[in-house]
Amino acid sequence: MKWLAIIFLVLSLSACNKYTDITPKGKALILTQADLELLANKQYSGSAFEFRAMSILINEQYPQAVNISNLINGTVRNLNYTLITYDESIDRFALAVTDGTYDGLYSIITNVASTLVDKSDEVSGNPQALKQLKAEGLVIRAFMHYYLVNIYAKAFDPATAATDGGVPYVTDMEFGKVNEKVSVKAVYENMLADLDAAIALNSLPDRPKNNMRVGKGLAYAVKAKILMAMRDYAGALEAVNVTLALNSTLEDHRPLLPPPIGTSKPFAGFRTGLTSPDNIFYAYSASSWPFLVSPTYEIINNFYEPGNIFKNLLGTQVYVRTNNVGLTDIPEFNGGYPQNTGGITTSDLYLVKAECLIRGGQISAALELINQIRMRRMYPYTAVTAANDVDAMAILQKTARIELLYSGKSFFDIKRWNREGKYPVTMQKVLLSKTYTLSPTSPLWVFPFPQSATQFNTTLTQNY
Amino acid sequence: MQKYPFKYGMAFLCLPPKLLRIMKLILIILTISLVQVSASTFGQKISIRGNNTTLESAVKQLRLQTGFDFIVDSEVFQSTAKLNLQMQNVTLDEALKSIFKGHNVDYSIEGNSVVITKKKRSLLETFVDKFSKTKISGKILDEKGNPMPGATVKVKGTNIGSWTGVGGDFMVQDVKPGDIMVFSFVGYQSKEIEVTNELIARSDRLIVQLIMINANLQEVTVVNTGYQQLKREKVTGAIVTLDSKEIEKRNTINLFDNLEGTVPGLIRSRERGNLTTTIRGTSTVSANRSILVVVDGFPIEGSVDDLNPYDIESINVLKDAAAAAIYGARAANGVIVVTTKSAKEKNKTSVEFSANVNYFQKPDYSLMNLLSPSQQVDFESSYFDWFFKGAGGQLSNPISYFESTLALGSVYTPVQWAYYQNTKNPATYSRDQLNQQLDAYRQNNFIDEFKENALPNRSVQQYNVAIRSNNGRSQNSLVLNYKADNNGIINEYNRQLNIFYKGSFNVAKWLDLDYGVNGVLGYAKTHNNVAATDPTYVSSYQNMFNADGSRAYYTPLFSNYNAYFNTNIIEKDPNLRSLKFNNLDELERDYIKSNTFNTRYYVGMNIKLLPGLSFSPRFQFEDNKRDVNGYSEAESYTMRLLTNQYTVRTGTAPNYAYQNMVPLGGRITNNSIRSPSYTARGQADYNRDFGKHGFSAIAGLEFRQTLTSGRTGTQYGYNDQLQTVNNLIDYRSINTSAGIRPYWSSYYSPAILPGSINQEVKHRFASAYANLTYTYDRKYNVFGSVRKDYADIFGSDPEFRGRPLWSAGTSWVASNEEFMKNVKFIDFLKVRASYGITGNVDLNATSYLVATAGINADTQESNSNISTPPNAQLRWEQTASTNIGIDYNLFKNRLRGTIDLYKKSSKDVLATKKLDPSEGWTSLNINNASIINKGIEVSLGYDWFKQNRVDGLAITTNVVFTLNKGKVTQADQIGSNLTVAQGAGYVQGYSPNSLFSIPFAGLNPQGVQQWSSANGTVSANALLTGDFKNFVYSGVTTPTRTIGFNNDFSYKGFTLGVYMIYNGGHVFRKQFYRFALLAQPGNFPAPGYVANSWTPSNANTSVPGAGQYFINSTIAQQHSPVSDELIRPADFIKIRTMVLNYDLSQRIARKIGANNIRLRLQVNNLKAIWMKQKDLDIDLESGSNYTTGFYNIPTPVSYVFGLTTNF
Repeated sequence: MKWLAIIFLVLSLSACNKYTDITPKGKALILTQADLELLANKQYSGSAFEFRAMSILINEQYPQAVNISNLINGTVRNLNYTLITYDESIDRFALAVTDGTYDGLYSIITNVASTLVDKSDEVSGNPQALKQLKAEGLVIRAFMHYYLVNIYAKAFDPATAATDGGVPYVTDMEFGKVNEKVSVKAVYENMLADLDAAIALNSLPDRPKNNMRVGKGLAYAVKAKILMAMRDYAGALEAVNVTLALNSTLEDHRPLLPPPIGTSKPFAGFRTGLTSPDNIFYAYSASSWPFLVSPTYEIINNFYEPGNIFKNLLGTQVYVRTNNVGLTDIPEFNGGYPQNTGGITTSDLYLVKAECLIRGGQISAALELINQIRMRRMYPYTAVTAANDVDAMAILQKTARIELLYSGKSFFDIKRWNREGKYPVTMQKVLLSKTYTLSPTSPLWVFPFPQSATQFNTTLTQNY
Repeated sequence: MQKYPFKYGMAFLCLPPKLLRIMKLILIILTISLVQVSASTFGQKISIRGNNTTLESAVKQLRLQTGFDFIVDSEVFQSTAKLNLQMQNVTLDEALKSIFKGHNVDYSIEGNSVVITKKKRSLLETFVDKFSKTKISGKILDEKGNPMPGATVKVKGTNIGSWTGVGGDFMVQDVKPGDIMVFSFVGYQSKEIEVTNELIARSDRLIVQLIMINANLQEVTVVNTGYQQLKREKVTGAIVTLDSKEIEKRNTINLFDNLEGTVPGLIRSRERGNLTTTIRGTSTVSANRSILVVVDGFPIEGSVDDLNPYDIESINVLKDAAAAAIYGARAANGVIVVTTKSAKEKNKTSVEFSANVNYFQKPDYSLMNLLSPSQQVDFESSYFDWFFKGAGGQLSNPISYFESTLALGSVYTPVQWAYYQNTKNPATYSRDQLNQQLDAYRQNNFIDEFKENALPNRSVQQYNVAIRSNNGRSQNSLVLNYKADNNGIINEYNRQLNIFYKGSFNVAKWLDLDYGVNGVLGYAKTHNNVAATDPTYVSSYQNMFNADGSRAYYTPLFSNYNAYFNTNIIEKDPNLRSLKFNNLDELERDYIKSNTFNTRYYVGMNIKLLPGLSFSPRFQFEDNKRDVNGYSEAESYTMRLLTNQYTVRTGTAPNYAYQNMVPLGGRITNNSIRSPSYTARGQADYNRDFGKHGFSAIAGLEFRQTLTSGRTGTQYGYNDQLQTVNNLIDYRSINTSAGIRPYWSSYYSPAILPGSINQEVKHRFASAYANLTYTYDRKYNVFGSVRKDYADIFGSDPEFRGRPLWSAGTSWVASNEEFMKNVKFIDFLKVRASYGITGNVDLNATSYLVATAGINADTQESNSNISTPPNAQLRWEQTASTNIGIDYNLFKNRLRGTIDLYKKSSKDVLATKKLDPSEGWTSLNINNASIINKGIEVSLGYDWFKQNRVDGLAITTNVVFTLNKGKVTQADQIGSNLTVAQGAGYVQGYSPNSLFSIPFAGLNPQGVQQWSSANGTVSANALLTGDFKNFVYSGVTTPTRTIGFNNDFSYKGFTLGVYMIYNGGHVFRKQFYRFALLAQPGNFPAPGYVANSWTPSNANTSVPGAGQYFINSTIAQQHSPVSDELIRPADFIKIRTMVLNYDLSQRIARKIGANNIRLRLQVNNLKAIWMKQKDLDIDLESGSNYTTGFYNIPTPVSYVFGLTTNF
């Protein structure tokens, strides 16, 4: 009797367990390759790729719709004020309560990249497809960390990288464990390790099924950027050549012109965003960016070359005369152009390759590449030549400023050049009769970890 | 004991039986002793002298002097009459004659013995006796006036007696004046009545009413936990019991109304606008926080509103862990166990009928604190005068500016229009005409007109019929309850019919069956047009009717056109439909009808296996269905506006082509919700006493499933007559992301969708449980329970899916101790303590890595985003409750009550934990918070006067005192600064429901609000986001203490109940300054604070500038709603209910065939009689609306007229 009771009890408890084991409707688990496939279809957009602060810092644009005179002369000391005036005395950490870029990039690392990497070993499905998903995850993980380490830490310097503070390199989903900050060197090593692992899987397609998926091109493009940041120009050249072999189509602005030069397409809708042929990987912060944003006096006067199709030939389709920043003679970008602000395009890689060639002494080959870009940006077009590497770099730097205008991507290059010191870019601007200079060693080149992070992770000492 | 006057000459002695026994003993001893000593004295002459001699001593003297044996009937000595004897040498015979003269005694001398007996009656005497002895008949009733079958009637000291029949009737033969009749029934105080001639002579029957022992305790001897019935003595937990007598004292529509102020620990209050009932505070963040309601042993999914308040036999509120351990997972917020009535009296069919009409006053719009029509005209004329004069130089040409907005359809107000007329053409519309118009407007009152024409007094009628029968083997109850509400507005209703059949059948000695079917049918009709039901959506100083009595047309709020525009553009365009609006027009069309059909079926068995052991499987199925159907006619404003909004034009003038993207005709919408659920349970009960050891135990298994699903749909182009719809609607074009801008308006139209589904939600619970109560000697109780609960926490480790819960309790009935028997003033005293763990679970949480499906808008491919990161540690929330309590009845139950102290520590509460964003998440919902609730609950009842007769005076006061303090002992700040400030977040170290504020630092010289930050600087700077240090704690929004103060008076069939409540210790924020309402007048009444807004001459105010003095400040607009300047104490005292019942005398009742008739007059929702804050005339409980910034209108005062009777 007693035993019967115990058996009854044990049976009933296991029955209880089974009875309550139900799967709710409307929720998806990640159990199969198809589930991972859905994760990999991530829409890479939003605050993760919001590099506007960097763009303002490198004097590409003014804060959108902010009256600059009021900002400079007023009493408010916010981040925009800091970025415009280069005032190093302002406590940027106090202003950085949260940071959408920091949150967004790490969210992709954990919830897309690492999940693809880890789960592709666990779930069922086609082994080759799972290998591809794993490789995609590894590439994305390295790529996102590339942005993070270049925003929140000093640029890579072989002399100090081992001791320069970097960012946490996150590969797990353990919330109980603090993600310790590692050195810049360690971050780069990890990124390379992830990329090499991805490449070693040999499963990425030459061209992905769409530009928000990872192909072999992205893997080598990211590797090229990383190696270039590490000043391994030969390695970077090797890598970038792999990608450019897969896609070397540059965006051409000449068809915007009326015949006989082009076909006079309307500017709005000229670039298609996702399907633009120059995409290696498409990611953006806002789909219609740039929109109602004002370039700086320096961009207008010093960087735009004469005959630029956007600035000089398309009229109000691109630039309207008025602006929301309250500055005279400053136009405003009218929008209708979905720039690839967070991803990688072929023209990014032309610039990478050109720099590698310059570094390798192949000046004319480099200029050939730069002219390939310039040819498609201006009318009438005149090719440029350079006598030496310094001139060549100056041309490259000038071309890059306009090519990457408003995306903030130039920040990463200028920061690198200025740290290296060989081809520094002077950050100087005149605004309302006052000159502001950003020194190459200014702490402003390193963005603060936000309070929302440092509060819970004591290893996150600031890197500036 | 009742003493009745002595009417007959014969002395009547009522000696206690004990004394009689002693006297009998004396007689025997006396006889024996006399035999021994008196042998030599036979035949002597006798001399006895003495005053005040007793009969007994006289007989002793006779014995001593004569030596005779005396054999005396003991009853003879019962006489206390004193004798005055002066006898000198008389014979025995003479002496006896002299002594017994006048006494009803016979004596005889037989040999050496004298036998003294009571006198034998003569024939005549016997005959007379026969006449004086007679029968008495009558009826025994309980305190409620219900007949008591099976009660005993006895004539004291005799075997004469009988029992009452089914109707409580009795008849006793052979009683005579002087007899004492004793009426008794187990559990009731016995009553004695002396028989008098008058009593015998009375023509009507004797009515005897018995009062239950401890009747005033309002406690029954059995506590029903829903799973088990326990003797009250054995209970170790904190359980409050209300019986039907208490519940029926007043009329209520909702069960919870009855519990407020009568159940210690239960607090009803508004939390952000919602009336919420809590027991012992809030102990969770995201998990279920509602009280579990159990009806006849089963938890119900339906609404408490569906419970028929007339059919409740008892309510048990289980508050602590020992009690709640019975319900495990769902008990963390307290349990209310409702037992419905069943037929009790055997062999009788009873019929109960009651009718109550609840009649409400019309809503008091003045408590919304709006400008009066006259004030509104003043506000507007001051503003528009300034505006049309150029707005202080801001407008060079106000006329053309205004006309440009007219053509866009922008809304204007009548006063604005008058100023426009005057400014545009003073020749045709003079200043005098303008002022006359303004004066005329001042006389109007749209709200009053609306109340007059659209709002009848709300009335709620409730009818209840209960038929019950019990033939000893089967019981049947059929209860019908009908409720009809006119909702207080024309053309609406809400009707509900509740039918409940409940039966039980004793199949065999060892098998009982019980079963029931409950159906609730609800039909309701409500208005669909919100603007039509609210008089504050149009200018308060305009008319609802034209001078000729026809309906006037005007512009409602939230429209995007004006009357000028309608008349000159829309009505002239044949492709558009008029947008004329009158509240009454729209109240005659455009309805939503809802249809509810909730059913509940249950069946149970009780199988007696062994003495004391029974097994009872039970099953309940509940099916709640609800259909909500809306029909907006083609003529309704809703459809006229909608079709206009979707009328698009293509081509060029004059060859326009028009298209109605929403088909012409009506619109029908339907929403259906289905929620079937079931519970199955198997349970064994064991109840047995072995001498001083008592055991009461249960063990069982329960499985339960709940499910809800539903879908909604909308169809256009409906023709009611032809019964057709037009399905050729192009949703794709209509719902483009930008929406549609109709050619006649500058506003985008709303997106419209054909329908959706309510995601199916299924939950399963399973539990295995057992508990045991051991009682020793009726004094010591020990209780222990164990159970394991399972719930479908999605994906949790099986280790965490089930949750073992346990509880233990003990109690000591001190008053049953021998040494306490001498403490006369204590009738009952019990000390109890309990400790236990209960659980709670958030079934939306999951431990799996879960993704939500979506579409990548760029690639158009299906994708998914991780919505929940994996959390292998996800587990139940657990609440440990400690309770110490005392139950006491003192001074013959005159004073009674309970005292409870408790501490509820909840840990592992699911809450947001903030993370370093490098984890991929900025926060996680994990078992991270702890909340502690502590409190004291005291209930106290005192009878100032106890009712000692049926219609005597009784005054009783019941006081219930509740103190609860909650504190979040561990949590990351949950919610944004703003959310927390508004009282919807959680902050470590503070109570849940705490309000936080930004310190107000006065207006600056321009009338803009300023704030002071934590470091003391005063500025108009933003403090809302950023450091929480800038906020100050302002108090809690829920009462921390409440006192229920209930008084009952009864006299001669009248009972008066006054039920008061004090809620206090909490705060509220008065209405904040809404900048949209301050900026400029609209075509609706502005809030009252506008009258006190900042102007250069009224600088001493905290209300920022309005109208021409309005300065827009985004910061002030965001900060104003969380300003500490708005904090007020919320303490109040209200009389919840005042009720006067009159029970018709039974003589009258019986004339119309009823047993009892009770009439009722009751007043509800009286205005607060005291409020701690004095500067506002509002109703604290109705609160203010967070989005509109207006106060809500309180529930109006209502009067209940009621009749209850039974047959």
